[in-house]
Amino acid sequence: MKKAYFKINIVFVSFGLLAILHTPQESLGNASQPLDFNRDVRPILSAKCFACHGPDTEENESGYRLDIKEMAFADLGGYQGITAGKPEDSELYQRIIAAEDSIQMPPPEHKNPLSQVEISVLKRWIEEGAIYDEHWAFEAITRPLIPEIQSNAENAIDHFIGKELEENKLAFSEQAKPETLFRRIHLDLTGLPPKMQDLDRFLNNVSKESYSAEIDRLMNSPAFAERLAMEWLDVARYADTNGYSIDDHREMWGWRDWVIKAFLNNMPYDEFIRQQLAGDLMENSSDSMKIATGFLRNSMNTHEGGTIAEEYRVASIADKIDTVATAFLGLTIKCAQCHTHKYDPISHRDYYRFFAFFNTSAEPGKGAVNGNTQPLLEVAPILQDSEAFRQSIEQRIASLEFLKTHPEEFLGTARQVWERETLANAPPPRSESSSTPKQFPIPTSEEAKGLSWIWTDQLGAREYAWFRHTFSLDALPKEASLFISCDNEAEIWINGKKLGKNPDWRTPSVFDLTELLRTGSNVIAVAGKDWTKGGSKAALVALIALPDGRYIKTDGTWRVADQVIPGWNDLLEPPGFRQASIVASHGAAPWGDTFAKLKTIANDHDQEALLKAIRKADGERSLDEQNLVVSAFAKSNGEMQKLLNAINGEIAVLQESLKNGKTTVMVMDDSASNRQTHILVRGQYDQHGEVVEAGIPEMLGALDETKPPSRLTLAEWLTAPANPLTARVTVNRYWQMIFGTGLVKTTEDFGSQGDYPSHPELLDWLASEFIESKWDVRFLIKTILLSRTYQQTSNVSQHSIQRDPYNRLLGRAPRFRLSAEAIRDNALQLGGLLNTSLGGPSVYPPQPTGLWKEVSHFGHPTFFTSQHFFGDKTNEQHYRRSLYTFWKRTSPPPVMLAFDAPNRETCAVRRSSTNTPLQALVLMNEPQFVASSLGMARQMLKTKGDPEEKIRQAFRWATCRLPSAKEIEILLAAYQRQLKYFGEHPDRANSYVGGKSDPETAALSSIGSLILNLDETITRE
Amino acid sequence: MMNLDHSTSRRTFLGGSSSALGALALSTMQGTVTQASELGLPHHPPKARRVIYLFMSGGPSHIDLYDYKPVMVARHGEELPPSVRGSQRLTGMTAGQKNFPICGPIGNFAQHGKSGTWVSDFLPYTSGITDEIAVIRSMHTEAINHDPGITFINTGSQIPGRPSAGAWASYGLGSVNENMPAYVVMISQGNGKNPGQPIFSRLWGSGFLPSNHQGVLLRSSGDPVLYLQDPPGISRQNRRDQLDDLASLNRLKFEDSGDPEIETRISQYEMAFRMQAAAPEIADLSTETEETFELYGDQARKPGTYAYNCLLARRMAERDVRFIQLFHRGWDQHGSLKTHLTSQCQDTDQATAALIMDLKQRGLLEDTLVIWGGEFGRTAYSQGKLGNGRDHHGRCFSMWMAGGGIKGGVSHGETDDFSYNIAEDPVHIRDLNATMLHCLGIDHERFTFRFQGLEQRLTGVEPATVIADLIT
Repeated sequence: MKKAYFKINIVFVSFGLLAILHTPQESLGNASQPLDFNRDVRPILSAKCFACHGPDTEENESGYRLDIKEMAFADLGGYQGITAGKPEDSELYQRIIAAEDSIQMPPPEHKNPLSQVEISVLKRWIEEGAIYDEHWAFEAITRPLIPEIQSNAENAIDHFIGKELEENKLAFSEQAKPETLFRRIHLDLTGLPPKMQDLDRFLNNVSKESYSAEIDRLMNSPAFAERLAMEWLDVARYADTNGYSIDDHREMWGWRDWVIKAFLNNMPYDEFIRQQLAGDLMENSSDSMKIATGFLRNSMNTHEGGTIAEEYRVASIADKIDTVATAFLGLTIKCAQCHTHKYDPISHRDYYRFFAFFNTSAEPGKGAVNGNTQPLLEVAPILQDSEAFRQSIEQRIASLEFLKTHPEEFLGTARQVWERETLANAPPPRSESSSTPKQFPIPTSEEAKGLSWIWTDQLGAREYAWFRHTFSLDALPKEASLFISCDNEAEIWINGKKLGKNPDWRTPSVFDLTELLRTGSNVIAVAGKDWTKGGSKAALVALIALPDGRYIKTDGTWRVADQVIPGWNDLLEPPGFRQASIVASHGAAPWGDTFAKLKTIANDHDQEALLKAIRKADGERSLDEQNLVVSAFAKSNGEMQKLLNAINGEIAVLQESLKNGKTTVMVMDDSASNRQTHILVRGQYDQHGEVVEAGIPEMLGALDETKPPSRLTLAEWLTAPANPLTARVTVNRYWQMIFGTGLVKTTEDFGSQGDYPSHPELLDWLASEFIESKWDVRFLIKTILLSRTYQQTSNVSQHSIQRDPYNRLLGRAPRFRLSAEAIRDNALQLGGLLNTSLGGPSVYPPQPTGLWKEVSHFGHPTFFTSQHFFGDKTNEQHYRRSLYTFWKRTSPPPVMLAFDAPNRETCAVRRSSTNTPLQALVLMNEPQFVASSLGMARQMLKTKGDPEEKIRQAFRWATCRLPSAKEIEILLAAYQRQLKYFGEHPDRANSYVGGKSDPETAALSSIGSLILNLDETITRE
Repeated sequence: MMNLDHSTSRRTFLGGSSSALGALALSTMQGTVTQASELGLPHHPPKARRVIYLFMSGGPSHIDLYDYKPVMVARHGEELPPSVRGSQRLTGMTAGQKNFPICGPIGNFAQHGKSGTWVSDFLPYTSGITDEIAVIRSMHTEAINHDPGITFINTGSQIPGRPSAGAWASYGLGSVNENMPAYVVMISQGNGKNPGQPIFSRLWGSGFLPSNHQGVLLRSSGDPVLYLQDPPGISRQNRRDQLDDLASLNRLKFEDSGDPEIETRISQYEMAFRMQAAAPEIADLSTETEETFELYGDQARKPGTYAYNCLLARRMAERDVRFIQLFHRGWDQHGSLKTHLTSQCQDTDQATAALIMDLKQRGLLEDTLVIWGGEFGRTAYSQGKLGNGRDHHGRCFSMWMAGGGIKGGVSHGETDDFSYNIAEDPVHIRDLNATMLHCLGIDHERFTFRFQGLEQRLTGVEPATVIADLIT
């Protein structure tokens, strides 16, 4: 006996880490406190034994199970796995200490051995009587008694926290300073810093009442609703694109606004769940309730070519199950998709019974192109009025129109170069009469016989092909014209003289040849180019019409070369030319009848108008002229054409919304309710097993049999007060939102592999309170905020950090970095830039050029989100709160990603919190953070007092406190140095501020940046 | 209130890896070697210190490059025997085809090197390095479309949400270069199919691992690393001065609050400052010799090309970046097989071979694992008209590995006469990943991360085996 304890103690010395990290288990070293099965023993059995001796019986050769009490203690024929009080008579213990490989458990080949500590724990547990409790999270929630404590308490929370602290010889920390606490509640409740007049008002009257009143005021603000929505968007994997493959756009912001509105109205949380799961099935279902079910439609989807629809339909339901199970039940049901769960009592069959709830919708496996996939609902915006909606769309269109005519971001100076070339190559202005386009005598089908598309068949040919054809004329024709069309563009010479260009096969050109031809030999030479880089080689069709119905046609007698030397286009054929290959006869696919396109080609009149427009300076062109120039430019520049297609694609979608004042939301329906659900063998979409009816996992009971087993009945079961999980999981997530870590650290897993709660009774007390308050989120959060636990200082003493480095006992307030969204919103607000308008279509703050294009399928002409990122050009949209930023799943907003936002492909209930150099780069250099520091400088300039006073105030805006003497000394010295630096380099001041600047503004802007980069500024203390 | 001498506090909070406080501070940081030792890594002495993964996105045609089938040449144009095709699923693009004519390799194959490895004449340069590489001709995957396919091979699962192989390496082994991230990604666009199939940030994402392990994109235009450049008007010296101010202020805060996270933040700003110099330095090719450009080809001078990225990969290997991954797009030859494949090979062949030779001559190949391949192969039968193109094919395809821990001159696995099914020694993506980890000194079964109640691993829950034939 003694020896065993000695062993434990030794182990704790050498693994000191363990003892400190998981303080509740520290009692292990203390013989006076018995082990707790769920806290101390079950995690070991689960991690090391359940894989074979657990719910999944397939790999269990012996049939012995440890996850069910009766079986764990069963008589195995004269011996027992566990004999209470007697390790020596417990086969389990004997096997885990066995030295022989053949009988040792876990088998050595499993590479997952028990540690000495774990073996000791199991031994001690058996010695102490082997008390076996059911898994805590599946037991009903009972309201625990509030324990007595020595310390002062504000409310019941402090009793639960205080008890653990006292047992571990720790104490509450002192209350945080009023200004710290004030900043804390603002950041926690709204994700935004307080305004100084509010801070001053509070500091003039610090009291429990004023603190409570401030909480109420914040909870009534839209910013609070937005903050809670932000937390929910990760859980609900909200995004603005489909996620798979082409990553086409979708429109789900209507659902996002529903979420904000639900929090604005403090919708009871059980109702919040029910509407999102089954709003369409509820009595008197309104549009709003149907929109709520968009929650289930946030799954990824695809319209990739080759998609097998059923495969993706199944994947989308699997995603819904994962989300519902993680978000509400804290269960990893997903594990049972292919086989029975290894750790929790969820069978393969249970999984597909759960699957059946979601298998009744008409949602197809292959998604729609260019927008939302059925079933969907067309609705007016929820948060914006029609005027605000119209304005936000018009602003977006304006940004896109601007980009059309200013493509420099993507193409550099290509347009300007093209304009200069166009002018240089332009024929001299003609007289009015000759500007009428020459009518081309379109041949009859008989006359066109033999006319062919020609190209080179040379392997590896790229982009260019050079064509020539010589023909003889006995006499000069009275008139002659050329019809020409090249895929994708061509330059044409007659007898060595340049005739002009054909921009693309879609717009064939007609030229008058009359004055260029001569008697005897003539040559037409064409340089063809294919601008779908690497796509193919140039193909050409051309036809010269001579009087009396004679035609000279492209056919196999034309000559082609893959490389040329100067002079190739003149009368003598240089070496390297050979016979051209015929691709297709004219009229065949893919080009079709190009004569028909003649009607639509730009005539000389347009050409004149174009030249006139180009001759004007950029700024002097009318909108029509700008568009004329840009569409002509696009015809000669493939990249511009793609840009234009994408921009026009988005504008077309926006125009539709503008016209009807509505948006659409993907929703759930029940129109495929007769679809049968099969167990899918090994989770394979096409391996149908037996048919199952909808139902909940058996270990959690059964649904009300008087009701149909529908999503609605599921939602009602989830939100019934008797459900052991939903309330616990929810209060735990809100606790995590406020304290950074949940009472159950594994927010996503309340199963046997999850962490045991640091304060199980507090979790149950909060869950009970929450249910009794009718699932009132504001009540829950306010209760937490009123506790002494919450109001402690986050400063940490050496003693406290040694004893409890991860602060699991909460003897101090946690101190943690703000979320990605809050960091950006905070900076914009401090810079006076934040636009706090509510709801509406997602917005596009700037990001570095090319991020989307690098990964995207930018060949598709209309799927605009799958191509270039088009930033907004108006401040109204630039500086909206971060939750409105357009979320492209395959390339999420880079600033958000840098600060640990998930990519929103799947449900995420917990973000990691990292500290990286990339974050430093964002805070120092990202243009909106730089703009925010300039914004701070402008506000400092308006602030009364000397530079020192200005800086003191700016420091306070960010931290809610005035700088210490040492701090202001550093800040002032920095200011003086920056002033000198910019004074000596006025050009640098200008470029830093982005316009004419004085050194003072630039220096203050540096100070703004310094303040925005402070650890304290991005930290909730 | 703590009033610690700075140097003492730094030691206390960042010093020993065995102290809880050290672990606390390190838990949020860039992966470090210290962290690796806390995970008990490596499990065995590693043969490779780093990985260069040349990922060929789109599905290169194994039949036309590495898997020589004389029977297919002989039976070109004949219907693929239904017994070979079996009943497994085809993509929606060819499932409706009436005929499945065998399309023989469009290039000519020959044996190369002492090893006599078969390579087609599409890859004249790679033919010269066959004794360095181990070709696996029996790769297979369950995926038949791009999205699940590239997600599978890069993250070990078809379903999004898992960490990429590079993120696992970063998490497990950390960075040995204190100026650069452990996992760097570069993208290039092939001239074959342009644009090719899309790729996604999840392919280098961190999944459920801490997000500091996600791959950092090294870009060829704009800032090499996002937001690397200081705002206009701020000189290096001025940035240095401002960082000193920031560190002083943060240190005061640390003394007040005692939060070790602040110390970590200070060190991250220092690394950012160093990275501002280190990343452009990697992209600065002015010190490279003419011989080097001859080796990699002239394209290596042009930012954004595959050849340029290969040269940068070597420069990063020299600087001990742990996991370097190139994504080259455009290998999806449903049509225009001959012209597109020619272009793809012209883009990549010379530089790939150059990278191997260059690593070797610098003594880096012996501890750098190089992997070449895509998410699946292509069908033995023609998509559309004979010779036009090939559809996706996951039942067998070819990849190769070279360098640290890998035997050169090996051809592993056999497919049937039509390169349609595997005849011998199948290698699943899981096996490939297990082998990669093995070379890095990691036992894939013991390298886990608890998420959603499971000890998750790169190789997933199905059995995976290190390919014994390939490793030294």
